[in-house]
Amino acid sequence: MKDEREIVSFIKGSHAIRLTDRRLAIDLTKGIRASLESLVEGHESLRHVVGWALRFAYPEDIPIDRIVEAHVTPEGAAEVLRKTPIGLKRVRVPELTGEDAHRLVSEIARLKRRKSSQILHKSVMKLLKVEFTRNEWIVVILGFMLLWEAIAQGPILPERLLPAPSKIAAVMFNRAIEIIDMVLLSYRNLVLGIILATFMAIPLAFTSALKGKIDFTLSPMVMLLYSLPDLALLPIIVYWTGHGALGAILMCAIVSFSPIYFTVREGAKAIPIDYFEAVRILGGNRLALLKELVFPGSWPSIVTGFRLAFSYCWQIVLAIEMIALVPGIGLFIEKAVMAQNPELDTAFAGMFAVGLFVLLTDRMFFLKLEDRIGRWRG
Amino acid sequence: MSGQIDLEVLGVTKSFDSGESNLIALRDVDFEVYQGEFQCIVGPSGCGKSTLLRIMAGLTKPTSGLIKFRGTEIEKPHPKISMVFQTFALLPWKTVFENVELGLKLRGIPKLERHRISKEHIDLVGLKGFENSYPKQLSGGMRQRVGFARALATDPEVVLLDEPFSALDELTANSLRQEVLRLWRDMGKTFVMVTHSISEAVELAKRIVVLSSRPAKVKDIVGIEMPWPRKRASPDFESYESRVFSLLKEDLNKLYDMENEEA
Repeated sequence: MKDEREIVSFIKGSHAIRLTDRRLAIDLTKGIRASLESLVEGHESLRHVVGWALRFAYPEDIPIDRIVEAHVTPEGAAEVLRKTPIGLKRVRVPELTGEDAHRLVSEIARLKRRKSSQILHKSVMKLLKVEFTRNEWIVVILGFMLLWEAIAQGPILPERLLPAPSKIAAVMFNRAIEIIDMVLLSYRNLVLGIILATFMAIPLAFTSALKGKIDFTLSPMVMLLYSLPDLALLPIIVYWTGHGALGAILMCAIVSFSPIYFTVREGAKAIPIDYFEAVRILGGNRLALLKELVFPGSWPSIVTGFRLAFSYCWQIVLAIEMIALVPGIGLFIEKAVMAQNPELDTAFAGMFAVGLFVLLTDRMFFLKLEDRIGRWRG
Repeated sequence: MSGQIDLEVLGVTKSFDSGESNLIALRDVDFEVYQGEFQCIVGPSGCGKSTLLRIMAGLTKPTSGLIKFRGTEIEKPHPKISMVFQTFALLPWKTVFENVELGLKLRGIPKLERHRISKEHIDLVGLKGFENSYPKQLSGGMRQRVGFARALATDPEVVLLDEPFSALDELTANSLRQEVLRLWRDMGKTFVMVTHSISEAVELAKRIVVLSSRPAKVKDIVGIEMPWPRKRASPDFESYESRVFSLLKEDLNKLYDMENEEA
C-alpha cells in the first residue's frame, strides 16, 4: 500500500508542474521519460507500470511512447484511465508483484536521489527562471506605475494634467458597471461589423482562391479598398448614417473586410492540390470540398484574419464614437475629457478598461483557437 | 491474358495549353487493365505517367479519347475507383481515424458501420492504437499505411497507386511493398501502379505497360511470368529488368538525340 502511494506521489508531483505551465511540463516529461527509460531497462514488469503510469499522468502529451507502445495496449491504458478518476489518492497497480513493487519504489527513491535530482534541479531552475521573468514583468509595470504615481502626486505636474494611477484605479472600481457596459456596447458594434464583413469576405476569398479568373477580377478592387485611408471615410459614413450605432458597425465591416479577405484567400490558396484530388476521389462533391477541405484547411488563416480585424476595429470603433457621438467607451472617454471640469482619471480608466478587455478576449479566445490548431499543424 | 476487363484506356491524348506553346503529354494511349491484375505503368520521367493515372481516376479530362470502367465511360471520379498518392495527401487536421473514415462519410454510410469499417481497415494496415494520432505525429511509412487504409475502406474495385513508395526510405518502402502485395493477393482487387522504378515494377506487376518519352505512347506491354514473392537477385528477375530497361533506353537515346539537335 505504501509502495503504491510513493509511485503516485512521484507521478503526481510532476503532474502538478504540468498544470502550472504546459511547455515546461513537456520539457520535464522528456527529462523524466529519459531517466525512467534507463531506470526500467531490464525490468519488464517495471516497464509495464511506468508505461501506464506515464500514460495516466500525461494522456495527451504522450500519444506514441516507446514504453507505452511496447507494453501497455491502448485499451489497457484507457481502462486504467477510466478506472482512475483524476485526483484520486490511491491507484491500483495491475500485475505488480510485491517484489517488483519493492524494487520499483527503491529504484525510484534512488532515482530521486541521483539522476532525478539533476532533472529536478534543472526543472526547478527553469521554473524559477519563468517565475523570475514573470516577476520582472510585474516589477517593470509596478515600477512604471509608482513613477507615474510619484510624478502625478509630486509638484512637477498639476493633478488636472496627469491623474495618479491610484485615482484611475479608484474610478475603474467605483464606476466599474458603467465602464463595463460601455466597453460591451462598443464591443457589440465591433463584433456585428466583423460578422457582417465575414459573411462577405470569406465566401469571396474562397471563390478567389479557387477560381483564378475571379481572383484577377476581384482582388484589385479589394486592394483599392484596402489602400483607402479608413479614417477619411469616417465623416462620410457619419454623413450617411447619422449619429447611431449603424455607422460604427458599417465602419468596422469596411475596415475588417480586406484583412479577412486577403488572409483567408492566401490560406485557401495554400491548400495542396493533392488534398483536393484525394477528397474528390473519395466521392466529395463541391459542398463536401468546402466543408471537409477548404474551410478546415484555411481555418488557421481565418483565425489570423479575425485577429487582425479585431485589432484594427478597436481603433476605428473608438474613433467613430468620438466623432459621431455614438454611445460606447470611446464617447465615454471623449465626454470625460470634454467636460467642464475635465476628468482625465475617468478617461484613463476607460482606456485601461479597453486594454484589459482586449487582452482578456485575446487570451481567452484566440490563444485557445491557436492552441487547437497547433495540435495538427506540423 | 484473358478475363474480364476493368479499365479501358482508349486513344487518350492530353495536351496542355501554356500560352504560346502547346505541350502534348500523351498521344493516342491505348491499353486495358484486367480485373484482379496488378499492373504497373513505367516510363521515362516527365512522360505523363501521373497525368495518365489522373485521367484514369476521372480527376482530369483527356483532350481526346476516353476511359471506360467495365464498359461505361467515366468523366468524374468513380465510387469503385480509389487512389493512393505519392505525397500521401492525408488531411492534416483529421486524425488517422477521421482520414480513413472520410470516404465512407462522403458516401453517407451510417456512423456505426463507418466506425466498424474504418477500424477494420486501420487494423488491416497495422495501425491499431494510432486511431487518434494526427498525421504529423506519424512516420512516412505509417502515413502511407493510412493512405492505403483510406483507399481500401471504400471497398473499391480498382486501386490506382501514384508512386506510393517513392517518398519513403528504401527499407520502409520494401516492407510496405510486401504488405501491398499481401493486400492485393488477399483482397482480389485490381491494382494499377505508376512507378519510375523498373525493379519495383518487375517485383510487383503481372503486366508492365511501358510508355515512351513525350508525347507518351504505349511502347510495349511486358507480362511477368514469375510467382510471388519474387527474388530480386534471380536470373529471371534480372532478364525482365533488362528487357524493360532496354525498352526505356531506346527512348532515352531518342530524347538525347532530340535535345542535341535542338542545341
